[in-house]
Amino acid sequence: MTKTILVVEDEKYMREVLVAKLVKEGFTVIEALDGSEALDMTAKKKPDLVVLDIILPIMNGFDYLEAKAKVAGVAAIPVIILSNLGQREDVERGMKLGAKDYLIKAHFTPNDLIAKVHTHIG
Amino acid sequence: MRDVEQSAVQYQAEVARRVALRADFFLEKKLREMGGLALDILETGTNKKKTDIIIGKFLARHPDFIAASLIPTTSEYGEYVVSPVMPMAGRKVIRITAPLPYTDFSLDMVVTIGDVIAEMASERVGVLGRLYAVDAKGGIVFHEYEGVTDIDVEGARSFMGADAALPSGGSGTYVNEAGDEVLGVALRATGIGWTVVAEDPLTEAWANKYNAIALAVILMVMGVIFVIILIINFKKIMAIAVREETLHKAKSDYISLLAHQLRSPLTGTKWNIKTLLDGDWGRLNEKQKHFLSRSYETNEQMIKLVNDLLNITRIEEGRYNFMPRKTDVLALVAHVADSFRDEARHAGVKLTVEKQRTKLRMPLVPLDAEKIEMAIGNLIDNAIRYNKPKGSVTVSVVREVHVVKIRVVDTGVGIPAQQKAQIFSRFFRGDNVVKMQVQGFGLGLYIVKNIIERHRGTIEVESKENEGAAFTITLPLR
Repeated sequence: MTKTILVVEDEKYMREVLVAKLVKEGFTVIEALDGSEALDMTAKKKPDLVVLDIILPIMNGFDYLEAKAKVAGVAAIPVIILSNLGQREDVERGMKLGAKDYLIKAHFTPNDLIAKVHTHIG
Repeated sequence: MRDVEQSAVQYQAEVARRVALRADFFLEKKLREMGGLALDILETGTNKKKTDIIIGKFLARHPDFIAASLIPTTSEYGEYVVSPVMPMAGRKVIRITAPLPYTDFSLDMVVTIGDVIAEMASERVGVLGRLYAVDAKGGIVFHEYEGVTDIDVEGARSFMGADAALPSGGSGTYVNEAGDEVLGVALRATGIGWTVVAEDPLTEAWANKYNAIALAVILMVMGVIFVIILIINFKKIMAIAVREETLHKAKSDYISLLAHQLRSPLTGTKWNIKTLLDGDWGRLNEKQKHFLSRSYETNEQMIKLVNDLLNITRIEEGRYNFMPRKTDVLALVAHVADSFRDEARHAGVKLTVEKQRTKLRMPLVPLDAEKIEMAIGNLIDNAIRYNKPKGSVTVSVVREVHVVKIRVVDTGVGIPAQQKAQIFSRFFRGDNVVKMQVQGFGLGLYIVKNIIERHRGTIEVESKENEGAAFTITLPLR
């Protein structure tokens, strides 16, 4: 059974390439444009993994992580942060809120992301 | 006889004036010192950790200040306030509170009155007279009689007479605590809020009261003017600082906003091109690969520029947080050099890391690995980009007794001798490099220098144009 990945990214340009790359790698991909939409989809669809941007409208990535931890049955779903925010305090905050990995868009490539996804959901 | 009395009053008034001015000069000096500290604090943007460090250093340099802190500005402390003298840890102190403009904080400092007492005591009143200063709450802070200076004068009550007779300053006669009829002249040191009283036994006739009062009033007005000038100057220093700070902040905010806005499309472009180059959407022919690679590299340079700009705004706003941890410098340098292997190969430059040839053991060095990696990375990046075909870059680490030296030596185009002094400035690029049309923005070395200096280290460069450059970073071992 194919694994489902939720991509949370508000920039269409970036989201399209992420979705296309993940689909090419054989994953089923669902999309959300902000943290609150992502929270709904996480609860309803229970994806196997979340790729999460931080700077998002309405509810940002950090708030999503905090809220997700309180939703029954989804707290264990792994999250990989993929963000342009790359300060040490951002990374520490993301990891403290339960993210499994923190990738900075400017420093990583699509293949790096795929490698991380495989690490967490085999 | 009248002349004698008049000169007695004038003498008393002169003594009181000098003592009062001494007290106000003391305050002026302290305000100037506080102004310097306030500027340093404003530069950090009232960041608590950094402010604490700045205050700690200030207190170490100025032993007369015994405490300092930023307190939230409330209506009570929203204005410049000098407290009455109060005891603290066995010393007599006053608190000076001054608001920091455009912040929600006031600078609140406790200063001992040791200096001012010493200065006041140097103004001798003479064998007959008595001199003392009373603070705003009526406590005697200084008392001098027959050449004996006493600053622990809780029991002295002579001011009671003066207090009643000279409620608003000036001069007058009254009976002091010893039962002597005296002539007193009282002056207020307006800045510090103390009243200085000089008294002398009343002799044969009335002193020339009117002259004395006129003199006292003139002196008081002078005191007020003095303090107004003093406070205006303090405010002026602050106003200049605030204007510069505001302009600087507006510029920083603008750059920061621009850089953040640019970063999203640039990283989006990076990810899109990379999937094409990785062949995710089909095989590319050599020409397609060549032009896409060039676009990718250009885009990477733009990302670097944006990151450099963001780093500079952080450095200049004091938001570039340094977190030193004990680090294996050899491993760190090797790791950074490894990350440039592809770039070096691509540029046809030989990149070598030399091991140290010293018997001294290399200890773990406290440094912020992320920032030092960036600094060394910038040097290696420059050394490769501004090199010649078949050139070389050699990176070495050597421990000396108290320092570790990291050297990046290249065989590149070098730095024109007359421009060596400018290479660590923002946006500076050497003439020879600009002609080569190698991409670059002149921000890297500025960031490197800043990072190294924040580690209490130094960076030096030796270079001969067309022969290469050698950068040496020196970092303390502890």
